[in-house]
Amino acid sequence: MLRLLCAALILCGAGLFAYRALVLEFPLQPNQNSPIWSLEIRADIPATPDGARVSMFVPPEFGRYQPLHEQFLSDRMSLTIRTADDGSRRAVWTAAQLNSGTSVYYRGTFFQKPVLSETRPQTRAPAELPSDFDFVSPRSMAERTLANRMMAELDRQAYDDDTLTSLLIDRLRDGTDDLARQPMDGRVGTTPVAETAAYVLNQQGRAARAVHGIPLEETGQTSRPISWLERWDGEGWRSYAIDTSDPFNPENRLTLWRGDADLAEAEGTRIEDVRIALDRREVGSVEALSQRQDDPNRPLVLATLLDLPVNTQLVLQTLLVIPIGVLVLVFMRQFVGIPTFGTFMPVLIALSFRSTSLVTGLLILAAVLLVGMSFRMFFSRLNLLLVPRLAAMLTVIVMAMIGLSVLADSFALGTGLSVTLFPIVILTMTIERLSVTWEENGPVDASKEFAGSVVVAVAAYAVMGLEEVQHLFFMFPELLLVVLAVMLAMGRYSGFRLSELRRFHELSGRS
Amino acid sequence: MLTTPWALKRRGVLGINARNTRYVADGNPRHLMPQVNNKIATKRLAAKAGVPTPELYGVIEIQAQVRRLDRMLEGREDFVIKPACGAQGDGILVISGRNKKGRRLAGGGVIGEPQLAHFISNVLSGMYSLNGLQDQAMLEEKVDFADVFEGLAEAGVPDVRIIVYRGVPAMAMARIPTRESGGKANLHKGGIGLGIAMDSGRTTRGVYHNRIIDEHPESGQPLSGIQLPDWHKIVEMSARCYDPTGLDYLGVDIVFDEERGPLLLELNARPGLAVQLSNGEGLDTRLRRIAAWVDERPRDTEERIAFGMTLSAPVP
Repeated sequence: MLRLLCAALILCGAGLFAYRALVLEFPLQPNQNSPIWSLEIRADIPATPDGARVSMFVPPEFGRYQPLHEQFLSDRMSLTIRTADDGSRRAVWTAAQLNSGTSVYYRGTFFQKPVLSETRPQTRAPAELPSDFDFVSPRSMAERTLANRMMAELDRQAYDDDTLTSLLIDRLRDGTDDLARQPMDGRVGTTPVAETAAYVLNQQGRAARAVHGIPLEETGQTSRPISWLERWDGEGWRSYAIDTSDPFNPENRLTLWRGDADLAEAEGTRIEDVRIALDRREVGSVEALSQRQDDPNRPLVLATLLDLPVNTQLVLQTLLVIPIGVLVLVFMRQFVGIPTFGTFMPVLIALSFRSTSLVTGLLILAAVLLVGMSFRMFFSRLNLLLVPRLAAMLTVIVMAMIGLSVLADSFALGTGLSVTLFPIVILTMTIERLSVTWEENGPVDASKEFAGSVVVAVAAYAVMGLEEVQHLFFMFPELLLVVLAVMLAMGRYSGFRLSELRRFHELSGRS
Repeated sequence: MLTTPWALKRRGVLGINARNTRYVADGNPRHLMPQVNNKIATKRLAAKAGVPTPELYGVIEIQAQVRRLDRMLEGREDFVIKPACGAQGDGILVISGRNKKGRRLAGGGVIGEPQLAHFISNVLSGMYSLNGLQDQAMLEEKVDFADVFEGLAEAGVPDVRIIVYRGVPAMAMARIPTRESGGKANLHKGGIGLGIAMDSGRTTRGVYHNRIIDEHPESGQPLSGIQLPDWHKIVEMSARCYDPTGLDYLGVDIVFDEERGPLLLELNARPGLAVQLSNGEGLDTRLRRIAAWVDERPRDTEERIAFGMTLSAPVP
């Protein structure tokens, strides 16, 4: 019966845990640090009497960086969002008329996904290879001829398409010969190189495209998009950096759009200024998860405690590790046989260590106990009734804590704040237990029990304080079912305690 | 200094965890516990079973009744105040007379009336009670201890503890207070435990601070071979406690009064395991033999007493 129950609990808890950890990929480690990037793109538009249409590229939805949270802001303009085949997204704002100047904003926060999905639009193979004759291209016949000549030259030097692409970028970037300078049209920077390289490659029937994005390195108010080249190698898109001409992994670039278009375009009006601001926040993967708002109707298995208000989360974080502390206590009592005050006193003491720190907590405990015990000895001579005496003790302890805070503050120990958090009722009860044990069973028993309590408290504190433990139980509260099962199993443990191996030594027949 | 779990298992030693799970939790239904945890209820049970106990003079339930102390005592000056739900002999005050300053304590010293009232109020507030809840203070006959241990007990109250399992007296020990233990018979405070042969009622050896001894550590007196008086009666008293309580695993504490002979002092629903050390033998072996014997067919009290008295020697 008990075994069945334990097995069922473990199965449920571990199963749910495994599913959420392995399938849903909830983070197992406390801080697999993933920075969160917040991006703002802002375009200013002047007043216009006629209708205006402003389109602006915003980062693709399924890129290497996934938007956690997005906002499209504008005043008096209506918004549509269009997604192209290659995953580029355009936010299009329109207005019938604009009496005064306005701005449109895009704000998004992004985090890097651990795994890239294979099916996102921008990893798809090109729909069809570009044809020799491209009507849409703004480039002239002459440019096309130049491109063909340049490729013919490069073809002779290159070993394969990969080196060909590198050579092409090299040549376009350096711009030392006419052949390369002309298609660039005198422009400089990564964008024309990437766009021209893509154009030249496309002319040769090789799929390539320019990609524009923000390097996620510097942050500031005036980030500029840079461009690089993507070439289809038959299996996937290969990225080439313009400054080195070599293939690279654009993992620290936030892609904005692909193709030859400009970041923002306007019809019926003009765009006065486009500004891109980038900011970086270092957060744990937990927080990143907490901001994932994929699906408002997600099933319960997907739910985490991170959906709760932050205050509730803080309380739960403490609450969830209490069973772990108690588990340590049960182990210490049932398997080791350490005597402690009361049943849960050590866990309560351990909890109060959490709000200070271990060493400070122990010092506070020692100091307050010393003061408290001397008062308790004094009160005991006054023959007070139990409840008033406890009340008086509590007051004394509060005063001792105040004194300690002031003292700590004047020595600039910086623990003043946490001192007051040390639960006072716990101290009161500890002192009461300690002194009653002292009076009735003598100092030996009292110190034994007290030492036992402190040892168990420190052990419980150490286990509860493990970041991994806190994280695991907060992320996967279903693990409490496993803890429950272990506790139930311990409830029928009938073997010897470690302390009994000493106590019954004489009975072992080996003395 | 450490032994191994399997060595203890082979010797049939019972550990606390095994006692709590297999014997207390499985054999002692919780709703039957209060009657042995509360000494007033225990007295009622004992009366039903025909087992003699120290006389109950009165019960103080609220503080105001302290003033009626003298009326309850009906002029007696020797009495004991103890919490009805006390544990481990805590909170017991033995008063052996009265003088101008107050009441004389048996252990020496005097307690004034205000201190006495304060002590009683502590008892009532549950300071000594098992569960910390409100308690009652009992006024009880002071036992005039008969010196059945040949002068071994220099201070305090020696008693005999018998473990009764399913109505069969299984193992017995005598607990002798020492000066070190402050007059209390608790072994972990430095009292001496004496093993008792179940068939004869003769002490076998002693244990002191978990060590086997043959002589009293303070006086040097030999500890073995002391014949307890009324042994058969003691065994019978312990066996009789089983039926009215319905508790499978029971500790029966018996003291010796000069005039009245053995008296039941209290019952314990989770008696400790020091009895094993005192007897130098594991309790589990005997308990398992008893279980097998009782499972064969229902046994009456006489049979159970007789069977218990055969349990002395370890089975070869």
